[in-house]
Amino acid sequence: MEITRQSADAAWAPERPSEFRAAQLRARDMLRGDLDVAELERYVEEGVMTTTLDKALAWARGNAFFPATFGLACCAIEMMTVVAGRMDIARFGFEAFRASPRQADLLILSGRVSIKMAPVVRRIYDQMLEPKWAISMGACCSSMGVFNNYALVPSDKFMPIDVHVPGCPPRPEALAHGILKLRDKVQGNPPEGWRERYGAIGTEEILGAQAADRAALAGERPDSA
Amino acid sequence: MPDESALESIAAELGRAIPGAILGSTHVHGRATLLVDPPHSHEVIARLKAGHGYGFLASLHGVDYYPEEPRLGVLYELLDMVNVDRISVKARVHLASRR
Repeated sequence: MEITRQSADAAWAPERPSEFRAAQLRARDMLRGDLDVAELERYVEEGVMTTTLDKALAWARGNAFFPATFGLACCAIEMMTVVAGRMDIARFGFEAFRASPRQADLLILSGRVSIKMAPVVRRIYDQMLEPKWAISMGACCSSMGVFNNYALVPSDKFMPIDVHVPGCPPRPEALAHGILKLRDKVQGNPPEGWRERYGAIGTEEILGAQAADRAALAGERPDSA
Repeated sequence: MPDESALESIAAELGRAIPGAILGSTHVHGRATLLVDPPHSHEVIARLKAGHGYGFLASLHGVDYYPEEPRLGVLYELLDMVNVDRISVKARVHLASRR
């Protein structure tokens, strides 16, 4: 097969939109000429599916997670196993772990979160673009698990979690089950922003100068805000 | 994300500071977007960074709006890391003016 290189605009997009429409009509006429009425109807019944754009988008989104490359503790070892040959989570479009929150849309908290680590985790989550999702993997980051002491904090305390996966650590099958649960949730087309999803509108943190402004408006001292 | 009125006030302030830079603003699905004149886009973003705290460029991507004209779009997704506030800046460019 001969491969010819040409600029994108010349290759498939004609200069005028009317030419694009003409190409569409030509394709339809070709189909009409090849098939008679009964065959054409059968072809359409077998080969054409109708849906809504929202559903198609949710289907695609649920099958193309880009998790952040982020592990916290021993659960991370099980998380790595999910992408290996036995579980092969790539079957669900999941294998592209991204090392930047700019490109990731899923954060898997795999392990215990210490109080020192919590602001870092929250910062990574805040840097991700919406729609974004989070899985809390294992007992430690869901309920502090066996390390239940002053140094740990459950993930629900500082960020929204979409799916909790129980276990200590959860087996890869359990994480895969959690991922599929999340996929079902995403394909149900929930609100994209997490504050809308969890009824958290109006709970935005008030920080710095903004807090002082609001306190001044309310007639309070800034330090009491 | 600034609400509709906050977005309008940001757009008005930028429009006063850089005449002709702001072509419009939209607030759809909870996303605040400023439509800017392409030659002024960097100036607008610098001002959003310095004056409003949107210092984190979370994403820079292009969109092909064919068959609409101007055909191409450049989107800057900005994030204010202190207040965790987002704003988008969109510049629409013609195919002929791409580099």
